[in-house]
Amino acid sequence: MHPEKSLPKDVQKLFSVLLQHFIPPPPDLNLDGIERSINHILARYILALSPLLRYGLLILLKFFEWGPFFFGFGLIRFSNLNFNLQLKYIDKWNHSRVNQLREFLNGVRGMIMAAAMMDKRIWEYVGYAPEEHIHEKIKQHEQLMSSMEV
Amino acid sequence: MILTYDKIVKNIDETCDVCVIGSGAGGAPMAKELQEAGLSVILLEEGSYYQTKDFRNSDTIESLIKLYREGGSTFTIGKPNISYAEGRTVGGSTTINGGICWRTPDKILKRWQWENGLADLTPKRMDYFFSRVEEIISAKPVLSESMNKDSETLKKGAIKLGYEVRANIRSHQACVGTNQCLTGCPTGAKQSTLVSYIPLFLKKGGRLIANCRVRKIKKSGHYVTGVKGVIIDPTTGKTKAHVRIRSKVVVASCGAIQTPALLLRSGIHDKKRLTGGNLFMHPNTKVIGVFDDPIYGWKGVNQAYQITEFMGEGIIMAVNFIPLPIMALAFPHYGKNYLSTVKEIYNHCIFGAALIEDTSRGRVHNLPFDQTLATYQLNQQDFHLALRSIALLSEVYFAAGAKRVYLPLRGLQELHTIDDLRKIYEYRFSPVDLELMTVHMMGTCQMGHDASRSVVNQYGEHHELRGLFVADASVFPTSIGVNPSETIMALSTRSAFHIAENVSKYLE
Repeated sequence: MHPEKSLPKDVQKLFSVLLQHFIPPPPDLNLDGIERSINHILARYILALSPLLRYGLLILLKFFEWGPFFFGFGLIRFSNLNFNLQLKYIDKWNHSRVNQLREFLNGVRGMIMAAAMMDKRIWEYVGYAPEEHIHEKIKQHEQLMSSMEV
Repeated sequence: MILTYDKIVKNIDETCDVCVIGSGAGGAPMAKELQEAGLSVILLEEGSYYQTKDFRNSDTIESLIKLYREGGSTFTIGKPNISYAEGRTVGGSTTINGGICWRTPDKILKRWQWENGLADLTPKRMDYFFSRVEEIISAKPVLSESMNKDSETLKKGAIKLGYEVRANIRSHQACVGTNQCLTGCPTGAKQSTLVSYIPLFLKKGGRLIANCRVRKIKKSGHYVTGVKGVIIDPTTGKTKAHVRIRSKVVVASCGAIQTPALLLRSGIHDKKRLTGGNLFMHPNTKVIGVFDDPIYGWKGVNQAYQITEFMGEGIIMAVNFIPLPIMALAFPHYGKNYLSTVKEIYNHCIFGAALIEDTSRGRVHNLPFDQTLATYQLNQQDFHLALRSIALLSEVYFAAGAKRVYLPLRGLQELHTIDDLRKIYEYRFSPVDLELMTVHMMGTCQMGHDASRSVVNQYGEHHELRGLFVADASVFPTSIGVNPSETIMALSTRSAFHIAENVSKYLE
């Protein structure tokens, strides 16, 4: 859906910043350019949601971005905090006593990480090769069906 | 004949004997049986039409967008919130489920007979319908060619503990264990309604209209007269055409969330406002077990075995491996060592889940702009059952040789030895500390003999509106504790036979 549209720039920046905290690349894995691909994937995904869910999510992301003020970090956007303060802010949401804050962060985390885990460099790193596997299984299934028909 | 949004260029106004809404486990058998009985049937499906060849890719996110309502981001509100999956595609949730076949347990049928006045739903009388369904969907044991180490490991742990294990029956034709069930079977082996009932329906002249969202069921007095809906272009989300189907029989098979939502949206209430209530859902806990030996869980069939030792308590356990992108949702960690941990464990782990036969209840609500919301509150009994299921699954993993397990509990995410199990009971958890998910929504248009305590009768016919039937998991009066698709298909088949045998009553 909406192949030519993308997410607002501030949302893309937020996702890129969060990605650095959620899945920082290990020293033995180069993930250059992954921010661009996850924003493309997340644009596809979010823009396919129903309007209620889509706008609700975008509003809550705005709240997250401007939320540092309510957590004692001063009047500053999350994306403009330094790395360590960003991490502290994320942990405040993750360990909040307010269930809805934890659930929201968990949902955003899941979404960003699912998009990141579509990167084929990560597949190779982890040892996941679904395309080859699907291809082999299709052949195996066809052979089995032929032998059953005979 | 199949009509999809790209072929539709003008409004649709058709007449038929029966209009079936939803092409999943309820709608497809209903449509097929009625078409074969000589009635003219139009089958409407909100989702898009895909074929086996369309599932031959590894783009998980794209599959979620295409095949799942809201890309899989649906959840019930409550303590805790619970993620659930609804298929929205031709074939409904059968296109994305694991294809596990279970007849309704005898104890459940007995309960329905006694508590809900469904005297004819005996195992003996249902046998014909179960057998008919099993033949069509090719219900058979899992092949050795598809077996994999994750299921074998679960079985090994269970046997070591002396727990009863069931070798599952699945609906398949030569399934070799591609394990892409969640994103559509790329070999065509899994016998979802997409590849079983719907081709049979089409062969007999049935008409399928995809990308059609039904907005209202039309009625006149105490009779249904048809439906109104829209064709939605899935690439833009915009309405492309309007649909009007005129029929004297309408079957709502949209699932336990969308069916009551549709009825309520159409102003079809029952006297006691039961429609939309009684929602139950088999909440699932998930536990990941990590082993020294390689497992490669993504390379074999899912749920080859289920541990049925605790069915009497309301717990069934199985393994159900998930693609790497979805693992992020099931493995709630992040940060510096995330990828190295995933690299260490992904091909050495089992993703297991325990299904709970719940007694908790929820409700479906309509929201503005054609949206729905489900609320569900986990009661204390089910909460303790969930904790017990986590402990049991962890025990099985350790018995099978796991070196650690990851739990869906906030505050206790890892266990390293079987002695650690007691921590599950030592910590003071509350329901919001649990991570649950489900794929079995049920009960929201419950059937029964007494119209003051049910929405539909034993054949799924609405107590107050002639010609309106419900044929999906909404009709279950109680949780059934096992995978529900075969029960849905059998009840739908039975209802179809009833309609066909009494057709003059409905069509005059």
